[in-house]
Amino acid sequence: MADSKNIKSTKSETRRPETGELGDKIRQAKRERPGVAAANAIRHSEMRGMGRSFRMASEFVAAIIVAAALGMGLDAIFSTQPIFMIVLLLLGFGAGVMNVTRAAAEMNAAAPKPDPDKLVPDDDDDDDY
Amino acid sequence: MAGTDPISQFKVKTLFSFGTIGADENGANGVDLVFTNSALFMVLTVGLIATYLILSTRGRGLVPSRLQLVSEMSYEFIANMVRSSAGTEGMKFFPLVFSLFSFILIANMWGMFPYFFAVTSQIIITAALALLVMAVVIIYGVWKNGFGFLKLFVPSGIPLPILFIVVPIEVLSFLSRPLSLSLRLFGNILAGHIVLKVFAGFIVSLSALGALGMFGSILPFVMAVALTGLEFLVSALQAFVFAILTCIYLNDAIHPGH
Repeated sequence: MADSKNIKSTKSETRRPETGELGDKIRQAKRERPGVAAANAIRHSEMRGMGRSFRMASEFVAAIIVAAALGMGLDAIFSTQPIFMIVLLLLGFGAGVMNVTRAAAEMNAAAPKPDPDKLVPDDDDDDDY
Repeated sequence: MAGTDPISQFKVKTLFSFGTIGADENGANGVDLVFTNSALFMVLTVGLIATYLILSTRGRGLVPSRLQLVSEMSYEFIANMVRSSAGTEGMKFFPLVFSLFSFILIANMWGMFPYFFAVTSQIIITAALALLVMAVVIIYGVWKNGFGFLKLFVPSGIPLPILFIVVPIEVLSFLSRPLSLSLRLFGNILAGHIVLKVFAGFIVSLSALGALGMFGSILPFVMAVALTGLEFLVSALQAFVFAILTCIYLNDAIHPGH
């Protein structure tokens, strides 16, 4: 028990030369490659952007297709072509818009809050000129 | 031209047959039980996932090995997704979401091998997955909330006359979910594989034109390489999107009324 304590204290007080050197090397390498984290962040945001676009498009189109198909089915049952299809197509458009706005609201809620200082860069236009 | 036909890769081929059931005395109208290439790749997908997860977590190391770390990270990834979109109550659906995510991801990745079959490029597979999700949402929602589940279609704080328009729109919006869920996955994988095959086919047909064609085929070759990378991205992304939308829909079943 005493031995392990002893080792611990020496480790924290004096840096072991080989690990200290390795640490310096790692820090050096990290300084030389600052772009890795930034590149990862960009790639991540691009991936999310593509997912977003596909999601919005399919949500919008799917509502219209479902509504039109449902309308055609109802028309075929009651033989009232094309009343139900027209009405449901209009409703389907509404549903599509609602799907898109809802998806956008979900994405906004999930996104991190932007820095409030950066939102309004400089709007004190009254004393600039 | 058979080699560059972009559609032939989606053909479901019979590998072997288990026989026919329910046929009448003439041997007609029966259901053929066959093992297709689609079934083979589904078996491979499930087999790979199960083998990997079982073998990599067998050591149960407190300090995980690299392989175990991948399993643990995938668990954490899905668990965080479920907790953030459906709450801690949604964790009872963790097995469903994790299975869907890993199945779609690995099936897409198998599909990226040349000559392999992309299971998720079949609408029947993606539709079955989406309908499974919607069935879970509806059954659990009705079982847990009873008629309260119908509050999903009636947004709160809306005057009565507007409800006559909003409720049908909400119902249509709900009905469109399985379609958008299945079409997105199916469309992405199908379109990606076709485009990849078309550009790869350009290389073959251009280089058959002689030296100038050989030189010109560099362009579609660059495109094919770039599209391969894009397809890997799409494969992972669509699995992620499917899983996160499953969580969002499950959240509706757990907490209807918004």
